[in-house]
Amino acid sequence: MKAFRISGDAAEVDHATNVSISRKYPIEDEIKLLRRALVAVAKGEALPEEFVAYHDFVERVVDKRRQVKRLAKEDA
Amino acid sequence: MIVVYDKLTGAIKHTFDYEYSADGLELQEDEAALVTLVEHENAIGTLRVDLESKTLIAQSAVRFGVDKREITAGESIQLTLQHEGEQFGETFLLSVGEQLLEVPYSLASIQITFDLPGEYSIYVPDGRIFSMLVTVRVKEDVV
Repeated sequence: MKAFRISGDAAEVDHATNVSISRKYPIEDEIKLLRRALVAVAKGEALPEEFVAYHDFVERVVDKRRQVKRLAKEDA
Repeated sequence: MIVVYDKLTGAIKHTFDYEYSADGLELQEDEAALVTLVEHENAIGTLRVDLESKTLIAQSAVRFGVDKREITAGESIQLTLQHEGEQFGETFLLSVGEQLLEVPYSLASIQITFDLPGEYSIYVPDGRIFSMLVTVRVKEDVV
């Protein structure tokens, strides 16, 4: 069976990455989480759990979309 | 009714209902027009112009079947294809979201993998070919 892949170009992948992140973490939440992380670092405390979860999510999304870009490049 | 069509393909571009004279009608270089006394109304969407006889005839058709209408990014659907009527070359164009795929008429089914979340409309963007629009929803793969 012939197989097709629907990926979009690099700009579309980047846009989808932004949408995926902002859907779960609106910009106000991102700023709040980053501020709390900064305060924790300044005080020498452990990073807040919410920040770690946020950071982990962003990293996983970015990593997935890197794979999408790589696959699209290979298909081209 | 005046029917303005693509003079290379016979695909209907637009119509003027209850008008019966094409005199003075301004056409683009790739357009031609015919006049019919029949008011086809919405049914005009299932017709095309036969370029030899310059008459309205039924569009060809592609019928889709999908195994899934909702998947997760990175997954695939299987799209089955049934054809009716004239075929225009070896392949036809299939619109999937923003992308156009060139699909051989000879294939009874194809596999489409969606890498990004979103809603994707699938249809044939050719005015000579009738197709029902199918929508596939692709969910986030990272939660």
